[in-house]
Amino acid sequence: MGLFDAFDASGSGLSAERLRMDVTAENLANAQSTRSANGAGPYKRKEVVLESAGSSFADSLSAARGVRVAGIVEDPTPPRRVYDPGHPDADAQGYVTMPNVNTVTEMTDLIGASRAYEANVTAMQTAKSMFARTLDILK
Amino acid sequence: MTLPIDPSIASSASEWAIPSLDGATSEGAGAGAAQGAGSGFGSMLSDQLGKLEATQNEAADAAKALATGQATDPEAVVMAVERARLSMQLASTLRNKAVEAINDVFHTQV
Repeated sequence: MGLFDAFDASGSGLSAERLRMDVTAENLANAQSTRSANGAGPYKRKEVVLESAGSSFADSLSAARGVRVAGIVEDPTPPRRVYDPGHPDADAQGYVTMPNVNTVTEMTDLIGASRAYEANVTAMQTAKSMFARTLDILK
Repeated sequence: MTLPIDPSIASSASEWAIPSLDGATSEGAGAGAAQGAGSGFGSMLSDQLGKLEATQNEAADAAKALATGQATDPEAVVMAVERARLSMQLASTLRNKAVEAINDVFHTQV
């Protein structure tokens, strides 16, 4: 229980939401990528998995522990099949396997990450002003 | 460093002793005075000032890393700077309060 526990928790939230935004941006950028670097078909949508930080017993005694990234996982939903015989990656039937990225879902994820970032900033500012108000008692 | 406030000058007031900090739980304020300035409030003060300096250095390093483009995590920089600012605010408020108290003593009518 330190002075800046709320700070650290909010800070970890900021980093986590920024990573979510990074991954969403990558998904949006690759919404039309029919090839991936390792040659394994189209791009697969990625998603950030977050978990509550602090698994040890000592950590559990602290009130504010923040969040950490458990990992970045690939979305297992099947890719879209689009009929486009002129595409260089089209199969024998003329279908192209497109990434399983839905632009609308990515946009809502982006808004969610942005709002969550704002919420963390507000929590940090509130912790800061509470600290400043405490110091005002001495003035 | 010099110690501006030494609670050991309060010879008879046992409430001035900070047992949990100087470790002298069973000893009174008189024993605290015998121990001198190496323990108790003085060492706590210098500890805290050392931590304050470490926080300031950390913030300066983080700001430098951000300015030179080495920082990958802007939130960490912001937090280091903000933590340093608040620590400094706390220290300066406490210092002002201590100076105010010592001035009150100096202005005592005799």
